[in-house]
Amino acid sequence: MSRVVPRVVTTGLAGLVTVLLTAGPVLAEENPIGPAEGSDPAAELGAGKALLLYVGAPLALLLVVAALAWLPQVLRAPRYRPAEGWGAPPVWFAGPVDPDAAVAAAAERGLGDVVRGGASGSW
Amino acid sequence: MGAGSRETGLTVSQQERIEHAISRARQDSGLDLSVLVGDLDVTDLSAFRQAAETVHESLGERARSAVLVVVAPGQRRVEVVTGPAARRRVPDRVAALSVLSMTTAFAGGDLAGGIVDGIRQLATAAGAAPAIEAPPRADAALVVAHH
Repeated sequence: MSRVVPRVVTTGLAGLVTVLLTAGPVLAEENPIGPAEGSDPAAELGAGKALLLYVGAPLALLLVVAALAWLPQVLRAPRYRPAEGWGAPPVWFAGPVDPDAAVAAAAERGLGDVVRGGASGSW
Repeated sequence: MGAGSRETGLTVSQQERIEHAISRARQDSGLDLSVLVGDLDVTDLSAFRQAAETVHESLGERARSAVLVVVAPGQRRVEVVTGPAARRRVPDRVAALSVLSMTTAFAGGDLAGGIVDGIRQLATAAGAAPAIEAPPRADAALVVAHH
């Protein structure tokens, strides 16, 4: 479930970008077939505009793709790293209502002669 | 408690995953299972087992038939403590297997996943039925009579 949503979003975005890239020039220009006869497209396009079109646009696209790839990593919770220690207070799932008082009372009365089982591990 | 640099602890979704796994394990197996995630207040790690048993003892009336899992991410220790009654359903061998799968996940940085898997193993091994009753006396006498 958690993997389906990002996949749908990615596919949707890719499709939208493809449609816009394909349809954009056709919709924007008056003559979608090409430059009129006798006209000189290179002369009409100034140096600044050419730079913007052939350098700026690809760069912008690159930045958008990079941001899309980088964003999920930033939004995801930081991973547990064994070497970094753990500063968070203890959480007892399905434990007693007042864990601190219960543990303090247990420490006071001691373990007694009850034989407990289980296992230990470290990593 | 721990002198770690990390303050965030478990995320809300991780806590929800663990809570869900615990309530499911408790329902399926009928085991009184609880999980403590956090470092224990011990000066020396050799006292860790004893500290975990003290936490188990603090369950009071529940302790006899309770299974407690203590995960200390900062101290890198995990303990499974079973009460005398719970031990019949969760033998030490089963607890050791669960601990092994948890430490493997923890070493790889998967805290919530390791806990969820460990709990599931304990519950699965304990089975659906409560502890099997001892056979009635008459059956035992019958077996003796055949010999």
